[in-house]
Amino acid sequence: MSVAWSDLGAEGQRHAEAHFIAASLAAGLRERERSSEPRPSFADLYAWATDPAHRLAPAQQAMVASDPDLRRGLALLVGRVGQLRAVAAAAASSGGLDRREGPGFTVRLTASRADAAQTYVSIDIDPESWRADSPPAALLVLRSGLPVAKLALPDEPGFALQLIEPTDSDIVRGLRDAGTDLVLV
Amino acid sequence: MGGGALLDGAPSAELAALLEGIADISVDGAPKFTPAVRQALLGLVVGRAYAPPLLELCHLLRVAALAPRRRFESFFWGVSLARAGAYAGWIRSRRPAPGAAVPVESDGGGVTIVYPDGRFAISYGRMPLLVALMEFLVSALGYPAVLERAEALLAGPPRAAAAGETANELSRAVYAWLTPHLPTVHEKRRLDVLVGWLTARHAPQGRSFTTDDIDDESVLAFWLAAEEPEFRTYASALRGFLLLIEAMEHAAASVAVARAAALGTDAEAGEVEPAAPGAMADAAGRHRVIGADEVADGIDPLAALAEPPADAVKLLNARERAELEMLLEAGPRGVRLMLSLLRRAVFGAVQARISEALRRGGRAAAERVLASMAPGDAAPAGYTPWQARSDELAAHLERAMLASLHLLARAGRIEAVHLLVALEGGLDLTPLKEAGVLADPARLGAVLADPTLGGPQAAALMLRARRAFQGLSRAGFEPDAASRPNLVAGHAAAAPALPVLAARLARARAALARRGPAAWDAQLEADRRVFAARFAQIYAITPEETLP
Repeated sequence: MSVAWSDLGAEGQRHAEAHFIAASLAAGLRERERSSEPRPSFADLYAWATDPAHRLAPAQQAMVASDPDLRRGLALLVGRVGQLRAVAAAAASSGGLDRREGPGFTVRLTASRADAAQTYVSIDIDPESWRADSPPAALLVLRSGLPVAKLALPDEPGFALQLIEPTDSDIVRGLRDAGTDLVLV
Repeated sequence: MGGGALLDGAPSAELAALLEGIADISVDGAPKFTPAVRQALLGLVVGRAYAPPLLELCHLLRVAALAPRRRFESFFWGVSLARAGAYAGWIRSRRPAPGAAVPVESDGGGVTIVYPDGRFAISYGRMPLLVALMEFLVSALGYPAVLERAEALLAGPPRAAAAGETANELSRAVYAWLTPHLPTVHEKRRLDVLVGWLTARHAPQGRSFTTDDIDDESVLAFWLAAEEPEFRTYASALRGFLLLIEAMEHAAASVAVARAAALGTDAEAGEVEPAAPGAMADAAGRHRVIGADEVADGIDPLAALAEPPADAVKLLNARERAELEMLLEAGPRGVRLMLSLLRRAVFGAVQARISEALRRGGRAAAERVLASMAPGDAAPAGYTPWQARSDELAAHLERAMLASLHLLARAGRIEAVHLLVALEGGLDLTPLKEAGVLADPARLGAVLADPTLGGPQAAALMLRARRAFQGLSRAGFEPDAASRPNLVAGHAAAAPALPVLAARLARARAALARRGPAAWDAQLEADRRVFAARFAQIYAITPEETLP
């Protein structure tokens, strides 16, 4: 097909111009090397907030910490997907908290008598307060809106849960920390 | 978000990173968005053609809000891979109760939202792109801004017009966000330079230039005379002309014809691939299949092979793919631009090395590269190796089609007929029709292999196909591949694309064969001098010292 420039007329030439510009920009974008570290996508944040197994890479956590837009987005998202929330508690004794409580649920931490390196995490949820179709999947721990740790809950129906976690793990330390928020999703 | 640094009026690094980030989203190692969806998103963004899909997206929000507590995020981010079938499944599992505020009707093809003031339909096949567009929105505008508009829309009375108002708001916001990231002045200037040069070249003949006037000679003449920095490299000049041809043909087609049929690339959603050959009866009533040389030039077979499920089969390795991309880039214009493509492959690489050497401050190194262009020197590689290589690629494609035919026939897939006809052009399909396997292909393999049923020609072909399958050691051609549904689906999806690819390669080979090896060598020697002199001029290095 041979096309003459003059035969296109003004409308066709405008069309050709728009196509050329778009195709040229697209080619430029494809050839362009990535000049910076990739930001976490919203899909990453959503996965962190809803998928018990998903972890943010350390570099992504650092970017969330340093980017106010990402922090605000994550905070909004956690607020929307979260079912029950316990906000940061008042300062406790120097040893940290062994009980966290929010409307509709309680978290208790008990050192294992058999092994001090292990801590029982007991979660009691009021079924009347739980409005989702599926049972709780994870307990998120955040500090000032930033992800601290996440505890995947057993994949079985139930509102009285008990798990055992290393005492020095991020999740146990995060739960004991009075400055963290807890969100059940 | 910080402002993106703009380089030479090109798209910003931030926009490039944002689109890369969307392309990188993966689920269990598989990209969330297929290459076709990523390409379509790129087209929407750079072509500023996002207004219509934003309207669809705003209507889709009503569907997504069927999620518990109206958490529409579950639709956009809770479905793992962005595929039409996955969204159809999500919607089926959340059908609204009768009497819902906004009824959503769904069928095999998509959903219709029934408003008091109108109806709006969205196909499942469209949804992956709309989800990618949502990903773009939250990445560019931020989740809070998108959430605010979405919640306002969903909280208001359900009206079709309200979706339009929200879409307009989003469209304005995207326009404003893109403006500093997507400057068009630079690209417009590039177009003006090309059009101005071609117009001046043909003015003495008293006529306008045509796409046919863009040939090997004009590309080289333009580059030799170009003073604009954006056309400093031969590759950039050739790319500009290829884009101009594409733009002119696209404009002519758009102005002339509004296509009646709905075409698409999502076979899962029942859309029709424009280039998929289809069975038909000829004037004599014999059943045949439209050959690859008869189909439209509108599809990209290499892209089709990279799409799931075809990408599960390693029909091409990285090198084969890159070489085919190079040979086929000019598409149907390849015949008159083949020399330009070879010049870019050979001398474009030399120019890149000179440029890189100078960037590193190595003037002597740049001169050494230039010296390597002297006649008789081993470098650069010549044009003739491409002839041999294109023969090898053609042989590989034929082997791959044969092996794929063997697998599809064994698996009882009708897609085998695409390959059957491509490999044996004059094959009469009447015996297959009479055996009933065109309607019910389960016995296709058995019928084809039996000369008394499928005919001796087909049986001989199937013997070659079996040998090719046994001799091909690549992912997707394992001995048990015919019993693995994902691989069978991959071969079936690739079957329409392979003959198109082979036909295009044949066209490129014909262009290469128009000159004998001696003529190509003579052309190379002439080009060495021309390119060396131009490189010396552009980079201010002396050709007299390096060329006799």
